[in-house]
Amino acid sequence: MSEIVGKAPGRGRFLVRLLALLLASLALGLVTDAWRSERVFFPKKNLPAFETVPKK
Amino acid sequence: MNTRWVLMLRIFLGGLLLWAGFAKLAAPMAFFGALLGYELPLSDTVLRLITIALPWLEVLCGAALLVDFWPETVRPLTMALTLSFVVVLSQALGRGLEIDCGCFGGGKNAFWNSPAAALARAIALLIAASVLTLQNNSPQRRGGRGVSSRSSTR
Repeated sequence: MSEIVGKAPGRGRFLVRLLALLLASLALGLVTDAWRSERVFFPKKNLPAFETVPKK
Repeated sequence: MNTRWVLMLRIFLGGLLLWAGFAKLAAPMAFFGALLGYELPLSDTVLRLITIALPWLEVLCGAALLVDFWPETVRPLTMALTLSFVVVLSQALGRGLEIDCGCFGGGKNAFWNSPAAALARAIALLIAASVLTLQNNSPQRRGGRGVSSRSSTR
């Protein structure tokens, strides 16, 4: 007679892997966004042109 | 389910996700513009985070499906991903938004990228992902895990 003795696949392992995939996507996205010239998350600020302070 | 069918579904779904992910990565601003067109009740920061993370999530899921990596995690995640596409496209279609779906990076205003066509595609993907998830959870796939023929020692 068979009997269920094992446990269902770990929910903890599922959540850890899910979190790993989500964090990996976010990390890769942030790295590629910071790298490229056309940025979405880290838009380049329109910094004013460098100006020297006139000497008095 | 026939393993050949499962393999074909994995290649179809994985390949399409890889294609969609790389297309979005190639044109992030176009994808961000397409995302804005959905008029979702989300903040600008959240939309920007989705713009940078979603393409990579698609690429990772697509690659994992192709090589059958972490199937018990990746298949339900793909199902959730395609379900979210169906929900978002349904609300766009319901509100009559005439937008580019942005599925492949956005910017191409063709019939294939219309919300109706994209919704049909997303439903097909959801069905494929659901079949893969259910097949992964079947006792045959799990090799009888959790059920032992040993008699109780108690």
